[in-house]
Amino acid sequence: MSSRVGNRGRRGIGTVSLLAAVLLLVTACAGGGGGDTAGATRPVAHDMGETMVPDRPQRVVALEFPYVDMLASLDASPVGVVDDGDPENLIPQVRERIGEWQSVGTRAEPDLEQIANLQPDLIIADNDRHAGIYDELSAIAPTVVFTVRYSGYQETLDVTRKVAEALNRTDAANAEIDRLNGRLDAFARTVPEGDKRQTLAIIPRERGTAQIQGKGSYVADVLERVGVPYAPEAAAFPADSDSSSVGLEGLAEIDPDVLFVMTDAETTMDDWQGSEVWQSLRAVRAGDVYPVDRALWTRSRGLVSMELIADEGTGMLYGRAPEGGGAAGVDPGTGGPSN
Amino acid sequence: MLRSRYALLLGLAVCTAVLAVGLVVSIHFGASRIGVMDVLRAFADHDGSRDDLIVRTIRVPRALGAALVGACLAVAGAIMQGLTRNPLADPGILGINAGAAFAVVTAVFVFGTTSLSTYALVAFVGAAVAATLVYGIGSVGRGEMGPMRLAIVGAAVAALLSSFTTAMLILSEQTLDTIRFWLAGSLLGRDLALLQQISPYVCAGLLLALALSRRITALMLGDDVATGLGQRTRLTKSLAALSVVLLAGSAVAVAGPVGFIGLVVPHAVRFVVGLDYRWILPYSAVVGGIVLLGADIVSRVALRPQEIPVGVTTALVGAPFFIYLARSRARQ
Repeated sequence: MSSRVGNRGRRGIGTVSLLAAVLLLVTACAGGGGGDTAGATRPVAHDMGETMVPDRPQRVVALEFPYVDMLASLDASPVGVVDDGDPENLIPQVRERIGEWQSVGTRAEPDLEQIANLQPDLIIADNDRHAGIYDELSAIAPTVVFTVRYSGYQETLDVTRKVAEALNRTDAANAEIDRLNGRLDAFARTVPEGDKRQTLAIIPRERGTAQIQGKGSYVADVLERVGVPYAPEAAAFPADSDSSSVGLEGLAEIDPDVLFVMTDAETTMDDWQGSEVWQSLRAVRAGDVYPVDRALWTRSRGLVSMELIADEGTGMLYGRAPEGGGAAGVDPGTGGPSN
Repeated sequence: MLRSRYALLLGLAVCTAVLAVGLVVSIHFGASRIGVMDVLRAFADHDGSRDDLIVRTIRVPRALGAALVGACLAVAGAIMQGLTRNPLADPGILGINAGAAFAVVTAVFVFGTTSLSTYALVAFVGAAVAATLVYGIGSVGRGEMGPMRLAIVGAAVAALLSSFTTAMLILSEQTLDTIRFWLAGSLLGRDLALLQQISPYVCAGLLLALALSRRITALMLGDDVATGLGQRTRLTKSLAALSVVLLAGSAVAVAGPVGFIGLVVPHAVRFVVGLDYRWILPYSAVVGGIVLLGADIVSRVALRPQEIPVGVTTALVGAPFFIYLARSRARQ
């Protein structure tokens, strides 16, 4: 965590020469007899083709929050992650599971020098953000590229399996996904039969402005997976965009029964409280407005956060999930998705 | 081209009527569908229903805000074009938009501000400081401040401020995230309190502009002519710049940097009423209001229920119109 002071200027020439030096160093080490990484490699298919990766990668660098979450769910500890300059951007449950890491810059602008310094043997990059620097990343270490930016429930599981394949931990992934599905089914059973309250998740923007989480987006999908009804009007909003804004009037038009408002230190709904239209919303009148943590609900987007969101969401809506009793050990595989 | 005083007055009355219709249409259209009768009922008696609340607390302030901001931008643009004798001038040349954007992004980046009314205050101060800086640097040195000098200093200061702004936005994705809509220019969520906050500045700016209109017309003929007519040109220019800061500063405070209105509307107006600023300014105010009202309606209904930032719409409508204007000018 010490070397977060990135030199952001004059990157071009400095980076190239440094990369060359590091590459020389790495190849020298490998040739000299660094036993574990120089072993067998195997091909891993990903968005940019196929890459030969070490049989069991030990030093992994992850360049998007969901990959960090997925690694945590596989009990793998990345040596370097992007945290956008603030460790708090990663949810505590993920931080605990991955232990010590070194920050390698921001998601939008990973610090190639620091990545190279970590001497990784696998880099997990994102198609949306890092396709343009794929060659530079590949020059540092074998790099696999996946797409997670707007993944829903199923895509998140799929990408987790791909990440697991790159790590040679497919069995661990399958076991974890089975366990998770069991938990999700258990949460789904806490949804009361007659409760048809429709939910909607929003991110407050400026005063009177909100970003609606569209149908098929991560949160909407996870809620629906555990049988929590999501407002059908949300289908009018794209799942693959961060820029769909509505005013309070648009929100009033949907007027869901329950509002999950994703907040953090900078994003609050304080400005809204005074508005009469806000006060007239069904969810506000019923007292069903739940502020939830933005890092957990929209940034982490992996398996760890999925379980936590399902737990928190159903817990807030229907009371405590039945984990104290004997229901915790629900065997996976029984009962399909209960939508 | 309208020549007689009578025709000009009539034209202004027609435009004002169109503006009034535009206000009603703007109040009628929105994310939710509210019938005309319901709109009228909202004014007649406050029954406290949802539609009533939406009309009174969201749509009316928004329509008034659009008309006000459009008027400010167009008048400020007209003055800038006269002041610099540069047909491509707009308030942006005084560094006003760049200054406001820089100030707001700094506030969000450093203090994490998210309140719109704070944005407004910060934007206004940023706009005023940037304009003063441009005007100050432009008037240092010998001789009269030529229009070229102002344009060059303005462009330089705007470029400098914009690059600072960009740097902050690159450093902090979170900051970008918070004010993306504001930076594109938007009228979403503006309330009456905000409009009341800026209306004194708007009124002062408009009155000052109208009072100066005869002098600006003379200035258009050249500093020598204006001086020959007994005008103190430096004073005129300073006062005109002050009114631009008041008007464009208020506009950017309310709506963020909205482009093209200040550039296009005065051109269209000059096309019809000629070169007399006593007519150009009031026409610009009314037509600017109409254009921004229209653009705001489009940005609400085009992608319903989503909203497009109104600055995007004005650019989409304004750019082709501007090219058309330039071409038809060239043909004449």
